[in-house]
Amino acid sequence: MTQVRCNRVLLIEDNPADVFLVREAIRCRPIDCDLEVVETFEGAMDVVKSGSIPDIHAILIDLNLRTGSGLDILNAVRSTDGLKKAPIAILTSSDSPRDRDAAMQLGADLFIRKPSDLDSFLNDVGSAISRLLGIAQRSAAAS
Amino acid sequence: MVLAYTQMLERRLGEQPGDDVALFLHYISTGARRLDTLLAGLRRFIQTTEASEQELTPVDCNAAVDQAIANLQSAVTAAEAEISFGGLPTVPGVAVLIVQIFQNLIGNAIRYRSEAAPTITISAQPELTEWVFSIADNGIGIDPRHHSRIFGVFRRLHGDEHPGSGMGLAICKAAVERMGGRIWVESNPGHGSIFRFTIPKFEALS
Repeated sequence: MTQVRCNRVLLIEDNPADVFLVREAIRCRPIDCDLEVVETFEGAMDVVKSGSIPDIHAILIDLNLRTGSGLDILNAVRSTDGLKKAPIAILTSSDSPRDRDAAMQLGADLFIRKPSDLDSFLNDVGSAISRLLGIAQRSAAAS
Repeated sequence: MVLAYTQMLERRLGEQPGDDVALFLHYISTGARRLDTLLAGLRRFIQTTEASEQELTPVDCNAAVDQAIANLQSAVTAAEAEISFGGLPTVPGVAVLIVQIFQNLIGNAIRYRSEAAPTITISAQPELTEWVFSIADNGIGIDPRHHSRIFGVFRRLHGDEHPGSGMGLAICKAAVERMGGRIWVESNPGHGSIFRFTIPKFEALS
């Protein structure tokens, strides 16, 4: 029998206004998941390295955190046992091809530009989370 | 984010006819949208500057125009714009910059169209040391007193009826100058515009 577990999504985002909107996106869809929020770059690095939040199914990382780059967190996640395969979306307010290339190179699954319009934000971010959880499910089924 | 929360407030407060609050919220969201467009333009400008560090390599301008049109496909189709070009040269340049120049100029020709469906002709004339490219349209045209101003950053001649960042031509100018050329416009209101820019030939560089 398979154990039924709630999806756990980790959000690394230091802007409370964006955190709220991500929660709205999950609520609107709705997506069945627990959202764990880490609000600082340092906090995120700690969580990734110590593995203090177990069973993470998907990770959303803001690219521009005040005290560090989301790309460094992405890199740390990808070089941590147990998180190597976690589906990751980079969230950003930039649409720079350079940032996108760097994120994809480091192993991000999705690169999402945060739309400024409310409905587009809820839709794009909600669909990104659904897609990440879909990737997680498929790779769990495959292993 | 500012826009998203303004929209959230609008929804929470609902319609309140005759209430100034709705009007104020409308002003805020219009302003936020405009800022957004400006920022997007500024980012593109920065990307242009970054791309400028690349070395000059041979760029086929026919392929560059194809790419520019593909990037503008929805606008081109919506406006039923007719774009003719062909036999354009290969020049020493930076491909992304040349695509960006054509894209901005074709985009402007469509955005500032007249009543008639946009007709855009792109050609290149060889001079002794450089190629002179021309992008001619049948749009609304530009008053000569604005001809030099329009290449500055955040310059806009129009209000919200033609939304834009005011960065497009500044980006073209920066890109053209990076490749050693010049850009200018020949136009009069009601008579369309011809944007011309130059790019030095290979021989001129050696």
